Amino acid sequence: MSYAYLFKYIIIGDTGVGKSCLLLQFTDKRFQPVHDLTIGVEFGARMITIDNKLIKLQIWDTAGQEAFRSITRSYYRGAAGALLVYDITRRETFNHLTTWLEDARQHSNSNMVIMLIGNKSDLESRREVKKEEGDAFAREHGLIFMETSARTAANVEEAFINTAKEIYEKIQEGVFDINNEANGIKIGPQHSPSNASLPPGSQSSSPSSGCC
Amino acid sequence: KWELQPPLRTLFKKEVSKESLAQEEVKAKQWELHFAEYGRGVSMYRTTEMAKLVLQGVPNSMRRELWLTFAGAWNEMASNRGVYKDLVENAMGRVCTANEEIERDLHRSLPEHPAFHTDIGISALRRVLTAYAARNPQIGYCQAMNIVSSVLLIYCGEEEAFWLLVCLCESLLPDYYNTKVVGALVDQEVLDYLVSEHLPKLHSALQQFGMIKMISLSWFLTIFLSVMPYSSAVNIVDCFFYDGAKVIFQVALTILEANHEKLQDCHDDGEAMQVLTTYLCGIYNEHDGGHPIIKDGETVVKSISVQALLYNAYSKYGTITAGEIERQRVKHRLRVVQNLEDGLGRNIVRSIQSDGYFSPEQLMDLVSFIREELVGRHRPDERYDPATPPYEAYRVDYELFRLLFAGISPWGKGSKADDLAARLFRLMDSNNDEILNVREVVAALGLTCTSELTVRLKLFYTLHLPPVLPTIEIHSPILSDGAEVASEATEFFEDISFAFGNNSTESTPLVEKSGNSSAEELTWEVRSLSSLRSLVVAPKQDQRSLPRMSQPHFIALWHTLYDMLQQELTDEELYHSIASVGTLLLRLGDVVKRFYAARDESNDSLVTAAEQWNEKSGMVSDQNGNPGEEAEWSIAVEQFLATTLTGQPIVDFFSKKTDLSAAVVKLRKSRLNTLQSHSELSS
Repeated sequence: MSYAYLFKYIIIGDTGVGKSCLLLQFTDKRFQPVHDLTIGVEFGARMITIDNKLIKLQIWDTAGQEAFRSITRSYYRGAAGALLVYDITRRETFNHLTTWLEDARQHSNSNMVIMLIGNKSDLESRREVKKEEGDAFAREHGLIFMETSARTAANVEEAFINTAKEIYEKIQEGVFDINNEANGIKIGPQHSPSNASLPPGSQSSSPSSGCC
Repeated sequence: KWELQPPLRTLFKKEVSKESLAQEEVKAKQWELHFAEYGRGVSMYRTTEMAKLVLQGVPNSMRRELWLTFAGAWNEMASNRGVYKDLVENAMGRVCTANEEIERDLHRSLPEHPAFHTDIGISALRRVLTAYAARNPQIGYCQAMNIVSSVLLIYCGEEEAFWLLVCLCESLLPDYYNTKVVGALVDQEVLDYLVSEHLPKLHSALQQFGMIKMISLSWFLTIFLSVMPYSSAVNIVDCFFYDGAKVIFQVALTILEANHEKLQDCHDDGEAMQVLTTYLCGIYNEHDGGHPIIKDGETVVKSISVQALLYNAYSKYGTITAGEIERQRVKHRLRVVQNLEDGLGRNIVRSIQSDGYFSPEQLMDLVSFIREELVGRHRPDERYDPATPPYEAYRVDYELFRLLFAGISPWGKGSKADDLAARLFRLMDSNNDEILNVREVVAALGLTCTSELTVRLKLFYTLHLPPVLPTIEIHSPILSDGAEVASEATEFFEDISFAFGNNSTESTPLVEKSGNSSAEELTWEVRSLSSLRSLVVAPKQDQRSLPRMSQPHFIALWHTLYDMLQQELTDEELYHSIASVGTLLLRLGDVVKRFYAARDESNDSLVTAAEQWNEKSGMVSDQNGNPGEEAEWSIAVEQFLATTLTGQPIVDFFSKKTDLSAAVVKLRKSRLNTLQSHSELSS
């Protein structure tokens, strides 16, 4: 299937917050209560439609344990979007967000869209982090925020798709240099730049203008 | 109460076809025959016949015995009777990061096996992993150990599984499961090299995606157990225990070669990853009775039998020897460790560069030097709390700080440099643990090397105020031994601490700690130090003035200044300016008349004169050197600044910016020379 754009995502966050389950819910629309542990990195992909254009999301799911942090860092480069996940039933996963965010900001391109996700919203009775706190953190750091449940699928579609919309808008505004694959965006095989099907805003980012 | 579990496969029996049962029996018989001829247990011979038997897969019932023998775990277990039980008892219920992480991973280790749907399997796995973390806190628990251990528990008794894990972590896969999976990162590099040697075309195709690193980490860390059906991967584990880690490389190369066409056709790393995942999931075991492979409820297309895969691996890449792998490991290890350290170094620099004392490049030079020194002294702390900022990763003690101060700071050259270093160290040590983090070190050096003239002068002034410079340290006869703290000063500092407590959001993190601590818990001295620190480090947040200085402290200050400048310059002008500025200040201190009366005109050194005068005068001050009742002499920091700024050589000295990088180069050279002469002396 031919897509207009391909966006690369990376999912990050502490171990056990539900990164792989979010990915599985999004790509396969199912929840697996017992899931294999992610060692190193795993991968998933799905097509979505934005503005009548087919967009392929290519999602890299990383290991959360501290030991793997240096490996995770090499995936930030070349990602257009990041899902930063914490577990609303475990306060410490929320406390570690600053470190994750610093890592992400330092190793990614500056335009990377970051979506903050408070996962496991179905476990209301065990909640340790208020929704307002997630909201406040997101506002303070300029992130989009959503609470999701990989179990009930609540907001999972929205989380992935809203991130894509944000990236898409940035492309329209000409913020992303789509000719530079290091930004995590690829133009589909039938939509190469020579076909002059570039969105209006992106003309400013001709190869000579250099990238961010 | 708990008891040792037997191999979990004996408790949770899979339904096996007659055909596979028969195959199992045949294999077992072949092994019995081999034992009869070549011995059994630790003393058996390794024959080509045995290699063939291993290659077709060890029968399930014999894995326990043969894995333990091949790996050498028998010896470990036999010479450590009872150790496992003690470790389990020890580790059980202990609250620590490792145990918490283990708990979270128990149910996602081998979820497809029925043994781990019950408490029997889960508890056994918990015991093995927590016991290991208790045995070796250096490694503790690293994800992937859980997957390997659960497979070991299927085929081996609990205690045997534990000792096999010990062998894996400590000898068979050296350094794999430490805090940064260094060993596995090194082996990824080795694989990359082997691919370039054996499959050059594919290597250039894969390199474009950075693929090899991406895919192979889990291959190494779990010996393929997490990437293909475990009942197939155990055959690779058989060979691994028999032949060592080189098997992983041979199999990895075979897998890549088998997919090289598809991989070369891929447009991006995602597609390539998919190709390999599909292939790996479809690897089946010939002796599983032809069952379909079910994954996530779906039947997977079979790709190759593990027997064929292993046969190809041995026939095509059997020439790769353990020796070659070892040579390559040594070659790549240094770079991998260096990369990790550089990464950490860059993070440290990023976390402090906004403090503005030095450029990022200069900071990197300094951080590298600190790392080298730490490595030389002892190991740099590998396990630091990830929730703390990067600049906490390197811990600098006074000894190292003194070296840095002497080598880098323009204040570190005189005979009083060590005193200054000690006081500066104490001033910057915000949590009072006799260790500075990198940010504090950089602030200390930056304040003396690159900060503005007045900031530097204020710091210099502060370093001669009590309690940074306790009065006890001033060798002057005028001290009384009163134990009371000057009430004026106490009020001053309490005031400041109070202001800071309310103001902590505005203060930078460098002074935050002190601002947030409960005031009641802190002694007057600690609070004063933290107040002074915030006045020096974050003057913008704190507009308050520094306390006034008493005469003994001022004289000590002038001593230091004289000493420092003496190292720098020797011309007349210097003496002249020091003397004139000092005189002016003393006059300001309202004791000028008596000073002149006592002054020996023939003596050019104002400092000596001042001391002589001190001896004669009967001035009394309290324990902290603050002005006592009889003597009112004191100067304010504003007076100190205004007067000092009239002495050009002093201004020049305190304005000169140090080139940190050049200073570090020089320091490193002199360290090298010291080390060399030390080794020459000892040899």
